[in-house]
Amino acid sequence: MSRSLLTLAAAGALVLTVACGGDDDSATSSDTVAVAEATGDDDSAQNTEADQADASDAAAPDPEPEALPPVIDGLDPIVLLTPASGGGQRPLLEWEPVPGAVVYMVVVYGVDGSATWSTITEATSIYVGGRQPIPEANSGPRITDGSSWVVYADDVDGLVIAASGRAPIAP
Amino acid sequence: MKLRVAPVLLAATALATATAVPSLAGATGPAGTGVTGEYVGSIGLNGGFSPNLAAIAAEAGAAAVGDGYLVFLYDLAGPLTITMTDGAMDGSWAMAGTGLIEGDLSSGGMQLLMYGDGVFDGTGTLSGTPGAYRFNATFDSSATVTIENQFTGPITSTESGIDSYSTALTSVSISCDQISGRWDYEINQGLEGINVDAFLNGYFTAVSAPEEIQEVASEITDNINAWADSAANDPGPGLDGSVLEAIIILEVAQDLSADLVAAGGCTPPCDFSTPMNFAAADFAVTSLANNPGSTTSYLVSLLLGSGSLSDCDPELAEQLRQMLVDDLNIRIADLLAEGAETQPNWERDMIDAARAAQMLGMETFGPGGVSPSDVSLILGDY
Repeated sequence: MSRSLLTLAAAGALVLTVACGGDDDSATSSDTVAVAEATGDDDSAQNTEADQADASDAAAPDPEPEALPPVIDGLDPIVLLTPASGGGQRPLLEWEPVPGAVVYMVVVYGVDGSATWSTITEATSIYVGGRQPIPEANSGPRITDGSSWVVYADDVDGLVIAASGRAPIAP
Repeated sequence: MKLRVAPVLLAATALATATAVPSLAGATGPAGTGVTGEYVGSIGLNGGFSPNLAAIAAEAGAAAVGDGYLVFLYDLAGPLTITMTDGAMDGSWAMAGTGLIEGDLSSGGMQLLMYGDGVFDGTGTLSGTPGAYRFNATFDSSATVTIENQFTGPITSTESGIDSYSTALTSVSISCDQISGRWDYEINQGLEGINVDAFLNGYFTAVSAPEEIQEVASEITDNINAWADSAANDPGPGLDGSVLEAIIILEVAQDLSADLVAAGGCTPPCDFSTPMNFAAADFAVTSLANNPGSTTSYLVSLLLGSGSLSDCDPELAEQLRQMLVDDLNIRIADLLAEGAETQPNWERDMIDAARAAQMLGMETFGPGGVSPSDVSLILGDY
């Protein structure tokens, strides 16, 4: 019998990094923003002031997202990046990376306040339901009006070092 | 596999049998009437053997029953084919493997070593009509075991096998492209003078899909069974590690489900994570029974990991949630009783317990009924 998956699993958290590598494309949105901003700075150094003004008007950065108070008092906050609505029933949940974090635990709550889905990932984004977007028609976890979500960050020792607030999210 | 055979384990086994199995038995899924097709997949065998310590102690001339463990290391899985005809199941499977037996028993102050090996060769069927599906097994198995008193040398050896048996499938999930399920069987039989209690179970998946899908589905099923086996080895300190392993398997299973649907498969009410749900539920029940007060947020995350559990079996999902709430209360009480000075990871564990409490929807936490979000108030008191 094949044991390739078991080999993956046997390496535990270390392999979780590898297993989640496929999410890199979806996990780098914040990195992409940072790169774009850096590139813009380089270009602006060669532009006229007018050009710079035009460019800054055209590419005005979004307001810096603000962190909600963490769901556990005393922890560092995590900034959530996913808009409160518009992503469908299984939106891509994204958050800013936390220095020192090894894994993130994502929890989605239903309208009644009970947790309906959770996962642990090394990436800084994941779809509701898993690494791949699940078709809308499928069964499985989904958000509805009144849902909310929370992200926790754990360090290498499994210590919770940061948490987001509970942010509302709707399709 | 390694299972402690101290009284706590025997109690845990009883709980797993009495609590988990009936609860899973409710998860019989769609009736399957009208389902017709050919399905190919994999089935596994997990579980553990517990020697009857009283019999062993008597054999060794000791009167009391003590502590110990018996390891039966094997890795059993095999191919499964099922033909469904209007909901009637006609399947066949085969499994073969060898096992290594190791034991270390203490009885009445007397140390006993147990060692040996076993050969397992089994074939069987899955059969029945909707609502009455059964797992049928015929085994050609044997084990040679030597029990040794460290002062007097080998005191006995035994060689025997497991009887054939037939048992109802405890869970069956049938969707358009796949059949998933769980079986279990409790054995209490004499092996030439030594009674052996065994609790065996296994998970299976068979799909009606292209060969590449069949192969991946079988691989996932094999790994679920292997995970269930390894997770039973060390359900205490390694619990979170086992959970991470399970989450990886779960993610792959969910990926496969998405691939299947994307490839034109129909939409299953329960996906490939279904056997993982069964395995995770068994793992939670057994490990928490062995280690009361060991609920962590990682375990909660695992059990929430596939939202299809609440879709497929909301009753089981709620049962598991209540079990976790009850056990988390034990953990919190233990932490508060121990206090910060007695445990280096106390603060970390208390914060993790607060996180688990939030995930389980517990509104109050600890003495005085503070909110889990205000766990810092508790931390500040210590």
